[in-house]
Amino acid sequence: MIINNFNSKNKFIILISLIGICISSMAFSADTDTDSKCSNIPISGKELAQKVYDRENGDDSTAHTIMKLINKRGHERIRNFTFYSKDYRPLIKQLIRFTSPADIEGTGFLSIEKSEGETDQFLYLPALRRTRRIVSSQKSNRFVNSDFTYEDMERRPVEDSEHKMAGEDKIGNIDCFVLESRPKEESDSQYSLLKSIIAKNIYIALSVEYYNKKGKLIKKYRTIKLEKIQNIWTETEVIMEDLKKKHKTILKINNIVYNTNLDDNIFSRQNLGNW
Amino acid sequence: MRAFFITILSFCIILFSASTAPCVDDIIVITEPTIKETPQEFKQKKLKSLKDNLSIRGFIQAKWATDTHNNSRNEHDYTFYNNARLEGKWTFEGSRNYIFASIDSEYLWFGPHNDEDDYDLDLFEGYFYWSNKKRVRPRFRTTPIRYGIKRYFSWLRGPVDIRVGRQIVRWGKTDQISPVDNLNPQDLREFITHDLEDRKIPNWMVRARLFSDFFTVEGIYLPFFESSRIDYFGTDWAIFRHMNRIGVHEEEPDLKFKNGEGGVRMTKTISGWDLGFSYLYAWENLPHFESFPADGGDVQITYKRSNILGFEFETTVGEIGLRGEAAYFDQQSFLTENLTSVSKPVFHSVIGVDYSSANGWYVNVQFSEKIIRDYQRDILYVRKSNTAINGEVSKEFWRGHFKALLRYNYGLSDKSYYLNPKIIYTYFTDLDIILGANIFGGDSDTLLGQHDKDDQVFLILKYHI
Repeated sequence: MIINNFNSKNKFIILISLIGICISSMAFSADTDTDSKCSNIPISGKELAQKVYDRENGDDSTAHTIMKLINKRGHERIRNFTFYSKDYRPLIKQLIRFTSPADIEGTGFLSIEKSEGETDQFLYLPALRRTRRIVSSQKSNRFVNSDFTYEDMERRPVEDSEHKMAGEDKIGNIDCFVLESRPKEESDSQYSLLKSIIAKNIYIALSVEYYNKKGKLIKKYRTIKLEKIQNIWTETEVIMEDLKKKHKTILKINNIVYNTNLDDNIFSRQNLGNW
Repeated sequence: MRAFFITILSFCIILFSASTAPCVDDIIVITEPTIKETPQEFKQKKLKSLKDNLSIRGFIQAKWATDTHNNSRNEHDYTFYNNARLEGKWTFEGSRNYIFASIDSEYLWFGPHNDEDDYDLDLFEGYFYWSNKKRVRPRFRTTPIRYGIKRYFSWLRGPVDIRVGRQIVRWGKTDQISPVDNLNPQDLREFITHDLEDRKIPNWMVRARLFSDFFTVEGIYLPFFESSRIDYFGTDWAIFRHMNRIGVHEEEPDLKFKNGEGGVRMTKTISGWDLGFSYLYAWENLPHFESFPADGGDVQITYKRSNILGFEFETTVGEIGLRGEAAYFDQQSFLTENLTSVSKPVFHSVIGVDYSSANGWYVNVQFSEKIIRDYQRDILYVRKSNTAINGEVSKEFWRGHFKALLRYNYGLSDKSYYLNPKIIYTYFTDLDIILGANIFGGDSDTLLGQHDKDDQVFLILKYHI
């Protein structure tokens, strides 16, 4: 009965409606905007790792950061530091200066990438009034007793690991790639596997699982808060959890500014020892 | 009508889908961005903040020590040391130039018998720091014809910094025994029971440094002589310990330009090796005993000039830090059996390695050799060749809340030793609780062994402001 009542005019309207539904479905999945980045274009593990490595993070940045160390009993230790970073493409220089608590105020850590994989690192302790060259290859050492090791804080060269796409996932309503990276033997990594969940098209790791040499999951990294500051996606709050010791480190950026044309002299031993 | 509603519904679906497609921008912005100013506005806002220009810090500490042996009535069984320091730093707007000053209150008491005490309230450090950001232009024009000359003088283009006032400047690379580090006198009223960096006394000096791509040059001038703080009589650590006290007449260098001290240090990094060469023309900070009266009169003390040539290096090799120093002194004073001093040339070298493990262990081992040229047998406490091994072993627990540490110094040539074990508890924010011991051993005619009976245990509370 209903079908018989459809004349040509009604059929045309239904056809238009169906076309409208199809268009809306396409809008759901298509790249309507070059910045919206809803792509599902296939990508290899290495290409994804390279995109993460190369993602936009400004020519330089100054970040005032809080580090919270929380033990399994919930006891907190809070440290404040200022983190300066400058990209000399392809190398990066970084300076960390602790501003509190009082017993470590003034302690500075300078890292200068020389060439891919090689880094000069220096430490300044106000009590000694000297800068000291420190071993950069002790990657498995914890950074100031946090759950981040020096290896976690270095940029991981893409060639140092074997990368494999392990599917797709979703965190909240964010589409992500799953990347498995296995550090090569010669990279001297403390990990056998890193399983990263990387937000599609902005190439930021929202979650990383770290596996030790025995293949056991030992640490977990999560991005808690992500903000677009000066058009640059920034992880403004992250957490690293030591699953065995039930210890956590939260890094929260209070204040960050990019591209202020930081003076090269900031990343010098002269400046490191000038406190 | 039905068709009309279907059409409207379709368009609604289109609009709804377009607005709710999970585009990254809509999902990831969890909060409003914290920074809304432009980078320039942010910089200006920072510069105007007075609070950011002035920083105040300091500490207050108290140390109680008790001897582990009660050997004689004259001996001091207890020590109390209290030190408070307040530091202020004013940074000038828009620059890295600043003024720094610190006031130090210090009280030292030895007792209970024949007690001795000493109180000082002083300017500890006070200096002005200036640095240019821009590179200094070369003196010659950069024309093609003089390109070679410009390149030769290119080192002039480095930044410069100057620090004028009362300060501590450290040269050298090695720990606790540092032959090259001679710019500042030391507080030796408790011998070496405080760490080297805590024994350093600031003095008035001008320091200028030129940083270039080729090397760094540092020049020092010290207009006023300051000696190390040392007791001659009356304490367990005094040079003449508890001998009957007699007068001491110290003849210090007059305040004249020609009596100033000066030095230069040049450093350069080559393939990951930090190298340094230095020359210092200075007064010895330790006394030279001209005479010791056998019958009445005063002990006569002067201070001698010394030319010191120094070399230092530091690098990392694999997982090991490697560092060393060597210094040649054209003369250094040594006490003899008749309680007067002689001056002898000395060569002193230290080489050491250190290692930090992932589980909180730190090991530092240094080998020291001090050779006295033209040695005489009546020189006290040291031999012609003095070799020693010194360093530190420590382990952190509970994420650094608790640290066990042992500093050691063992004389390979004279079998004397000094051990300084400590446990450091930092659970409470800004408060260090330190429990430790000073243990000396060896023959009484050695530098460390002479204090064999002065072993002590101590407790330090240090609160950082």
